Amino acid sequence: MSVIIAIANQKGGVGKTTTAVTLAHGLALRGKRTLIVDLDSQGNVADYLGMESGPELARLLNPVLAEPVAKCTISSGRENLDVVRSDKTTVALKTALSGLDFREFALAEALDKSDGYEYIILDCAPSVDVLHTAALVAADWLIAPTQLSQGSVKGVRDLLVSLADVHRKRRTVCQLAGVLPTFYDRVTGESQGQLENLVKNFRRFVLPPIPADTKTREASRAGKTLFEYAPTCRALVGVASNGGRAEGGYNQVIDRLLEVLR
Amino acid sequence: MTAKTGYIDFSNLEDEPLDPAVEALISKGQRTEAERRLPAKERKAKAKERAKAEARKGARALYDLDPALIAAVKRVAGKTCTTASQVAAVAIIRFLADVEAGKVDLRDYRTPSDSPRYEFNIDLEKVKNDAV
Repeated sequence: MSVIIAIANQKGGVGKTTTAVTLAHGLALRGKRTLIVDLDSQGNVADYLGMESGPELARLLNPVLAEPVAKCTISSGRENLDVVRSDKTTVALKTALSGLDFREFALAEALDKSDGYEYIILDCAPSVDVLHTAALVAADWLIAPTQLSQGSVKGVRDLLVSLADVHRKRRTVCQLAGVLPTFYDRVTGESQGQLENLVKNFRRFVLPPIPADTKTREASRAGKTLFEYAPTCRALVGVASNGGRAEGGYNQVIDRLLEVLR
Repeated sequence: MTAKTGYIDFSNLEDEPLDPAVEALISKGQRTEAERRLPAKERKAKAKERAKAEARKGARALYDLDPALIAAVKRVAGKTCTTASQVAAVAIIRFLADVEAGKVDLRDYRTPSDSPRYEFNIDLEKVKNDAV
């Protein structure tokens, strides 16, 4: 059985796709066979991996075609990492799904037949639509990236309300793995204050923060993952804390996930 | 993170431990914030202290020594009105020069070691006797 992790936050620009791609490639580099599924019609996962966007998600979930997952995954060109791409056809897919009964279960059912992947990462769109709900229904775990600003923290609250709603109405197993603070800037008081605010609200669910790092933007523009573009960048390895030890960063987050999500 | 059972009661998390990385970064941030609020003079003193600590990095070593040796170094430092670190540095400089010049050969003082990490011990009693 695969461990399915949804990366979601209703607010845009909080680092969902960067998180999804980096976690997926990080897990793949640790020898875990991983699939990343792009649920956003913008098809950004393919961009971040240096690929063209594609209609595989629409083919996978189309109620008429319903192609098996094995036919809809393509190699990312990286060892252990496959991808289900998305593009504009996902917009039509959402319309097609909206008329169906049990539409929220479409993704869970499709991924049920995805043998051979240890981890499946779902990169959600920044909106509450049928695919967003379907991701929460299909996932075992939810990671909520949030920029350290007042609006984004509220976005996490809204997301947890959605999750509670999904639990109540659809009896799913998805649990919060953690809230992931992104764009952490240890120099600014605002970033620090919002991190403290997040901790006050979510305590142990707050994952090690991801430092703000321009390398993340450069990497996506170059069509490379952070591991390929800047393997020693702050967003991966963290920043010095008291005592000079590096804390935070995606490497530490992946370590935490591997400790717990099995 | 949580075990995969039940709902999360967010109102009841106050006593829960934080992720160690989050705790470390918050405490560093709080320290920085507290420093920012200090008067300019104290802020400067703190920055100087930090720079000094930074400069000391790599300049400290911890060795296990006979307490009598430590006391002897202190005694010489006291007599010459200097620091124990500097006296120890002089002793090491002179000893290393002697080793380089072949005046001292540590192989004469080696005895087999039981430790899996080191092959030999130095017979310090013999060193003392020879020095006298």
